[in-house]
Amino acid sequence: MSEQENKKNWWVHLILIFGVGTAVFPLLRIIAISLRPGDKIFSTELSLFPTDAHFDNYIEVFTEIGFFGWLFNSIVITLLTAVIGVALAATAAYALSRYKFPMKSSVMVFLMATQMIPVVMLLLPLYFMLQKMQMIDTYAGVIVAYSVTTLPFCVWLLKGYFDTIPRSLEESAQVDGCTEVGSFWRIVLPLSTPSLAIAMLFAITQAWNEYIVARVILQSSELYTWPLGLFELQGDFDTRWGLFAAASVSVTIPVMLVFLYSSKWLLSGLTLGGVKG
Amino acid sequence: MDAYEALSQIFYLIIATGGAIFALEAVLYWSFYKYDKKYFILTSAAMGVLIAGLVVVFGWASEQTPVILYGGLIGIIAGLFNKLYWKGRYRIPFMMLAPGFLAVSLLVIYPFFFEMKLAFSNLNLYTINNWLNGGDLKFVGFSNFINVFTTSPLQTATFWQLLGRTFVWTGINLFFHVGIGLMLAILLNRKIMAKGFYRMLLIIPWAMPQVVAILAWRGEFHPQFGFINQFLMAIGLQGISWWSDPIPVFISCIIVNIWLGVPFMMIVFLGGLQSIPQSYYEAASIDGASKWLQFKEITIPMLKPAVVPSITLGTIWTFNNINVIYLMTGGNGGSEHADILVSALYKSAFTYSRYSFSAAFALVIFAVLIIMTLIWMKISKGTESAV
Repeated sequence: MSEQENKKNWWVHLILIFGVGTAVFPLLRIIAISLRPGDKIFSTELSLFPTDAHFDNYIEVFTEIGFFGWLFNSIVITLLTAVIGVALAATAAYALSRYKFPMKSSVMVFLMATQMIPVVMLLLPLYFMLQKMQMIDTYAGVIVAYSVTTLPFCVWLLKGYFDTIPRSLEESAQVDGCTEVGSFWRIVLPLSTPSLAIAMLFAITQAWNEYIVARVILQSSELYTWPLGLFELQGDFDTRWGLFAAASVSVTIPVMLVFLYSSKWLLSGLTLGGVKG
Repeated sequence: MDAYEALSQIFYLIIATGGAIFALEAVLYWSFYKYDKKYFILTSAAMGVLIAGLVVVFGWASEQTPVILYGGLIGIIAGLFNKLYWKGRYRIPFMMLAPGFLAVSLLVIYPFFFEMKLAFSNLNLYTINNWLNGGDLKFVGFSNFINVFTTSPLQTATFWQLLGRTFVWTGINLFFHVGIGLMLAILLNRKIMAKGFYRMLLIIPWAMPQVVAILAWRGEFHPQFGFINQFLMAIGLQGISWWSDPIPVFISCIIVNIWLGVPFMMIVFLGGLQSIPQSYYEAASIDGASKWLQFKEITIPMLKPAVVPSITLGTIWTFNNINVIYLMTGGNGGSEHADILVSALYKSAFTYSRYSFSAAFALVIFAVLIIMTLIWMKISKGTESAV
């Protein structure tokens, strides 16, 4: 039976290979362009890899334009957003998961509703708020703006996970003399390391890839995150296409490795109730 | 501002946040223990005044006296609530919830009300300096809202055109996301070789940073040097000016967004398919059900619970997707023929600096979102009872 199945499956492979080809096409193309020598950037040949590949674009990206500065800015903003988001979200999520208190359902609906509001819609008042607090063109301003989306999302995700941890664990700890806060700190938090990691990863990917908000808040080029820097390079499309490609590849490869490595976690987090609600 | 200065400012931010959280927890702890003391309400009011005073000292409030009064009032109300209803219960949940909830409120509720205030005033490029230097906002009634419907948020497109375009955008994208995603998931769920390999490569559009992917695609749509036009010309067709012609611009945005969104749906569907027990299909085929009938009567209904939330989420994401449109059309000063509601909002606020107009525009978009959600909730409830 299985051999027969295999023979009938050729068209499945055909479709899948076509799908894979489409999926990886832009990535292969920017890798190819990044390896092209400067005089061949605008070559109209369709062949994927240039025969005389070399690394001049990469050398220029790493030494001449402020590539590492962008990376540094991105890392600072991303890490702080994730840490602040998860730390504030964890306790709130625990309270929502374990306790009954007045207005609880309205708090939950409110948190759900905030996920629907796109940050673009609140960006204008946020911008003026940050301006009044002198936080335009600073890391802090971007971190505050990113927390608008990451914080409710992390609360929602973590609450979904805390709900799956049996309550009896804490009850038995409390029988043994643990305080309520202590049982959260010593029992629930260690047990939910995977979900904390997932929440962190979500916050990190969101902040790491963000462009629209950063463009409004960051104005001086010393503070540019890498998406802003890349857009600048691409803005001078005609002259620096090769540099853009090299910088893109340098950012993309590590991010993709992390994503593919953690995709199992991320996906289980999606189905664990974070998104499902 | 340079990086060093910005870093030291972060340090202040962390200290300030930590201090605020600590103070908040201390106040809550105190008020949940001492709620039955004689002067509780008075002290609570005093504490409200104190906190409001701190806010004024840090310069975060524009009008000073009302803020302090509000602080006292909130203190009294919270104290009364505590004394009459809560009676010291809920201490731990409130203390745990407070920092996160307050942060969300400050970041969402406050800007929302501020946006309402802006929507009814006349803030624009000419009045902004006056306002930033302490001037007042002039109340202008509903004129901004009327302008949203009568004038154009961008250079040419009207609100109704943008709305129509947004629906077309959301509908086409969702159709292809779900269609292609479901097809790939079904194929991947068969017994085939190299399944994990295919799956890993197929989620690359999701794994790639969006900005890189979109900008790379934009390069491929370059009218002269991009792959797409070169390919079209190689097979003897005419190149299309993807960067400037109205319809091609929009089509290129849709193509890129379909490419970006398929992997998510595929993974969701795959997870749903794998959770359907094989025995259902075996039983059905013993009873002589055709493949199509099995798909219709087993796969679709069993997939529904896992998939409906993801589709809802996908709709909201697509409706609100500004990245693809903004970056594909070249940002500020690029083509405006593909703009949907949210990207038009962004441009009218930050490119054209029509602040009050954009605030009203944002509220209108928000209303559209709410109406859509209500309709959707009604539909999904209707289908639930039908199953």
